[in-house]
Amino acid sequence: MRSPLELVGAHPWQRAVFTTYSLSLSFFESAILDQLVRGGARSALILADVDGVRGALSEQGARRAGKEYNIEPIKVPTGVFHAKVTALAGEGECHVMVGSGNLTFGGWGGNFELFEHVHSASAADAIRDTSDFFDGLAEGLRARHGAQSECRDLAAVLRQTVEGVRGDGRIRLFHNLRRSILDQISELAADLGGATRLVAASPFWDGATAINSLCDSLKVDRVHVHAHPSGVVRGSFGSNWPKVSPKGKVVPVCLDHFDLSGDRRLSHAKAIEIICRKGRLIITGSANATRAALGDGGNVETSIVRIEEDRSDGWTFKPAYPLEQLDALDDDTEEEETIGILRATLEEDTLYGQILQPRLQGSAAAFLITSEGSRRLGKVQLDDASRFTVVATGLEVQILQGNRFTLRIENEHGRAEGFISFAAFTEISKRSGALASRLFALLAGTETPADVAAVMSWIYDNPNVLNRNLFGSHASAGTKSQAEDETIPVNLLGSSLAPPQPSQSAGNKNSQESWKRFVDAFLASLRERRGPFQGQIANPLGDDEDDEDEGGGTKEPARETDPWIKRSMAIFYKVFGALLTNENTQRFFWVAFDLAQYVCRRLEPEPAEVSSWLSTLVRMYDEGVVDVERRDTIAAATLLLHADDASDDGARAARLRLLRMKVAIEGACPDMGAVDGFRAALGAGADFEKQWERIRVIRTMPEQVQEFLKAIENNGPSSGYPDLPLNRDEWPTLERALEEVESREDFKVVPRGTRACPRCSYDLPREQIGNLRSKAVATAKNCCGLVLVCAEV
Amino acid sequence: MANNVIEELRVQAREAKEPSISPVPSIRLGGVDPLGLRQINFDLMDQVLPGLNNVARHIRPFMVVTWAWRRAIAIAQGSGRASVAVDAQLRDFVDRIEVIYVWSQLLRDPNADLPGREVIGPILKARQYSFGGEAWKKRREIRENSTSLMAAINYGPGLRSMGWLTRHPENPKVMEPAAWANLALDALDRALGDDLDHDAFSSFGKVMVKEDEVLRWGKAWALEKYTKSEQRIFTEALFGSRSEQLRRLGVELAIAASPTSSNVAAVRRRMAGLPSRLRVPDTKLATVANWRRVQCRQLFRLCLETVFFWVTLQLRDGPMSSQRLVSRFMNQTTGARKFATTAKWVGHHYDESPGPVGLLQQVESALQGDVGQYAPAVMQGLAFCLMGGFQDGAVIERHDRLPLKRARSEFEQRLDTKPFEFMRHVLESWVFAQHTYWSIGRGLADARARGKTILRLKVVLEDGGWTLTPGVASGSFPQPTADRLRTALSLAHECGFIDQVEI
Repeated sequence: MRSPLELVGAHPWQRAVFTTYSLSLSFFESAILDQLVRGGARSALILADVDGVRGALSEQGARRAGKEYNIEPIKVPTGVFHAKVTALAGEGECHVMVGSGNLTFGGWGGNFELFEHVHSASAADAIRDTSDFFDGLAEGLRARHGAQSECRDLAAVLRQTVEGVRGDGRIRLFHNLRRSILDQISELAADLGGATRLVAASPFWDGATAINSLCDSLKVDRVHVHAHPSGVVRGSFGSNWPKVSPKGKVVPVCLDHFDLSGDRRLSHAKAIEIICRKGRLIITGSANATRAALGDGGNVETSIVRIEEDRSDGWTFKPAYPLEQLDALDDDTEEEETIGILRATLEEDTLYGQILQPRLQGSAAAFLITSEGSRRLGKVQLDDASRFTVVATGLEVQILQGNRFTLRIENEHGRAEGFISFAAFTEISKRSGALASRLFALLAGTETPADVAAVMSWIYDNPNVLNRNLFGSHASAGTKSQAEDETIPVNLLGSSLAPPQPSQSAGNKNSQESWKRFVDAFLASLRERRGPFQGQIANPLGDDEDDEDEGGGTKEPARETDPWIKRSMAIFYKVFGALLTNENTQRFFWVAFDLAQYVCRRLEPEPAEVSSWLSTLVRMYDEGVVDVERRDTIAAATLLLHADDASDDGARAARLRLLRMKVAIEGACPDMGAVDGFRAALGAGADFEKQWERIRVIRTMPEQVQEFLKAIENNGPSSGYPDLPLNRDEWPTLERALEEVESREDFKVVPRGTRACPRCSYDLPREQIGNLRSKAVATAKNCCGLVLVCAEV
Repeated sequence: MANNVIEELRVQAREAKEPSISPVPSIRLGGVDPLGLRQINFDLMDQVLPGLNNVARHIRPFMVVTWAWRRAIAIAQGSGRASVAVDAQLRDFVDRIEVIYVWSQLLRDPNADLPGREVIGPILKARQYSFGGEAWKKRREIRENSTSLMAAINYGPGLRSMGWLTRHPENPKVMEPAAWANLALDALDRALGDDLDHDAFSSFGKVMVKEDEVLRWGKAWALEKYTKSEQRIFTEALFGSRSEQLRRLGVELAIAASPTSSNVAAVRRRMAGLPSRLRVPDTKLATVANWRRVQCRQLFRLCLETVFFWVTLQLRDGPMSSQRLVSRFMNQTTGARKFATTAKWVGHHYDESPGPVGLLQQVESALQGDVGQYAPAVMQGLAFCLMGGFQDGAVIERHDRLPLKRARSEFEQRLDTKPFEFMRHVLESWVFAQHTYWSIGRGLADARARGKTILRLKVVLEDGGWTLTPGVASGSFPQPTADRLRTALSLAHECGFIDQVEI
């Protein structure tokens, strides 16, 4: 039998929504999110009772909430949000699982739990009912939360998957947003001719209340109660066995179906079987045998009801001893006051939120909480619905970098804490699909070589995703006349008195801005100083090295065997080439630069390769890619490229490049930290200060020509062109020109790139073209013998 | 495959007649680095003994592999052919020599300190082996990343970092032996004498080798019989003129710390600064500081892993809150009720006299005893890490790997809090949060790469408090990360600089 966990990972779900009472984020991230990532799911949302969220807040190690999935706390004023539904929607189909298990290790197999799995093709009625449940939540029936639009969207998607499909009415989902579960099952039982036998399994009972209600409503005089052989999960409410009831007899039994040999798990399963005169009902789900679950008001619950219209003998069972009555567990935590719960969404640099419990009003203080302490954000004003906004500059980047933050609001009446949802996540997921988790890993610095390979492929396939130039505002500045008086609808006046909430209408502009900020953060992460992978989280041998090492910890992680490093390198070559084509250089030069240096830091390429990348980058740099803030960086790269060449020619070549890049050579040596990745990969340990000083002092050949021309103007030689006399063929002519004005027609100043004699128009010999380029002097040897000099750097 | 699964699940949903019982979780459990703190240890070791690992501790395997490449290239050059197949000929030859070498040494000593004993088992039994065909091909594939001497977990990194082999610029799968090693490699030629003409050493392609031949060769190139020229040239590479400076200083320090005894533990202690009275020249002060940093980090990691292990033993009794765990832990230490502030309580446990290595040994000893002894040893270790003199080194310690600097800063922020609150922070943030963060991060990295599904979480927060993950009996037994010192000492011994190495 395939497990629920397999279902989660079996498909690239477009939506995955989980509802729960208790919540273990370490379970969710290690088991559910793991499967969602494997399956390539797009988005995940957890709707959890405020109690569940409160517990989850103390799990400091689970850091992906609000970023790779969202959590929305739900407050049910009359009880708790107890529904346990998993809805997975894909293209044209959906799967829904309804059960007794919370989103915890216990709930997904650690305990003995029951669940029903229904599919849009075979249980259309139940899917419609599920849609109705989420519609009810969206309407705010019986529950306060901030996920109205998500619930409405999910309801619509679920409905679409069964549009036009007729159900057979045999499987239904009952929820109690509109009517109690007990009312609904009593009605069904009556339709089937009335109940004749009732069997119930539940880990929690509220004395005899539920027994009384069941017997009253279903008109039976006894309830067969399943006594689970290994016992039941103890909770913080009720007791594990019903008390004696005046309305109906409790008959302890052991259901054969539930008595699996060797299964010692404690039961948390909730099930009711009703044998009727004309059929049978099986109800399983979240509802315990308590009035809060089955009756009016109380908790929010969901159960799947199987309706069989044939007479059936039903479950078989053996007589059993009642379970030893155990009351609810005492809370040994001696907790300080219970904290309230809030929800918050970060949009750019503003947090929009609402306290769901308790209802706080007036002014309060906001704090960002990390595992290392708290940081005060400032004062907030809570409105009648406990809503607030607060500015949190820079928080978005910190969240993107993998830091975990929660938000606390407190005043003299109480305090509340909650997770922060990252609004841009939707846009990031939309643009990057299943790659989002890899991008987040890269931003947080927890990426693996496999992530790098995938991200490189993504960039190669969609280089424009990183093109910041495409993000420019479409509206040109100043299109609206400042002179015209603006008008505002009167009904909008005064709206500023209520705290603004995240804009639903800003739409395209907001999403584009989100993506732009994300790309900025992504590019910044490439520039971070990160060490080589060295197998730290890589997967050498396709095996788990930290599991291989049981024998004594002598083996160290091996980097070189990780095949993803080689693959990443192979894709990088392609990406690098594609980013630096003539058409792309202007847009992607700095992306290529940062990516190359990232590869140097992380993947440790061979020095020869690094040298070639650096050489390409320095060669491709031109005025079109100038970024004033990074001119120092390209200067450092140039210095590094020439670090191995200690000759005068080397220094001159470096100076020439720097001059062409318009780098201020007279200034201080560039910060070599900007190219530390290249530097480490090249193993370059040169004295850059010294090298810089040398470059400052030396003069390039065109500069010497400039000095020579000044000397001509001044009619007297100077010391500013020490290397010109080394050009044996041309120097006699030039020297003569210094002394004799009439000889000055024997040479001519030509622009850079000259390839023909300016006097005869004959092409210069190839060797002379080379001389003009490298030495700034040449002779028109195949025509008039004119000496050419070039003063342009 | 995923399509089949989803189809099966659709059918399963359609055909179900009853509610299903949740299956028992079947995720494989694993992980031996529960807090993810190991990597910083390795990075710090690179500041003292770079290019070494804990496996490659004999001279001869370095020589044999380098020699094998030289021989392979010579055969190719002598063949008169225009080209040679990189994998089917060159690498095949080197693999063959490696296997013959290990085989020959295991015949001489079944406990020879070489990788691949299990893999070679069938050859040892068969007493002859044909290096060719499918079986050999498969064996080569299996060995490549595991028991091969060239593998990255064996001699591979040392061979490259010391310059014995360098990648060919045209084809990185081809390795070129260092020319400066020729004198040492010539010695191996001489040792094998006429046997060099055997097909196994002189040709590409399929070769049959018999046990009696291997036994003969085993004596000629025995693991423990290295020539003077091998010693001399290896010394140059290990910590001589060809060595990178950090390793040269590191190995020199290790030798200087072993004048009378080369007991690994004693050398470790002497190298680590106070209370050691080892005098070192100024040029080695930074090496001593770096080694001390390695040992402090080892101590910090061992202390936190011991707390984690202790927690898993407590949770065998059932779920517990942080509060209860902290109370239990503190009750097993001294002064828990006596001191009002964290500063005073941690200060009460601070004793620098044993030094980091001594404290490390104290935690290891405590781990051998009753569980009640863990807490006092851990507190002494933690107090040293948090209060002892500390200087930043050159290693970039990632914030999320809980560097000591971060821990000390968080400790300093809590000096005036109650000891209970500080210990609660240690437990919830440094132990549980770190465990959860690391285990989940590692698992999700596998998920993104579609790798194995391994559940590394051993402790989770569930309804009743912290509890062992279903299927987990306890945490893995904590032990310090091997720090390469034994390798350095072993190689220095084989080079003739240390009389003997005691483990």
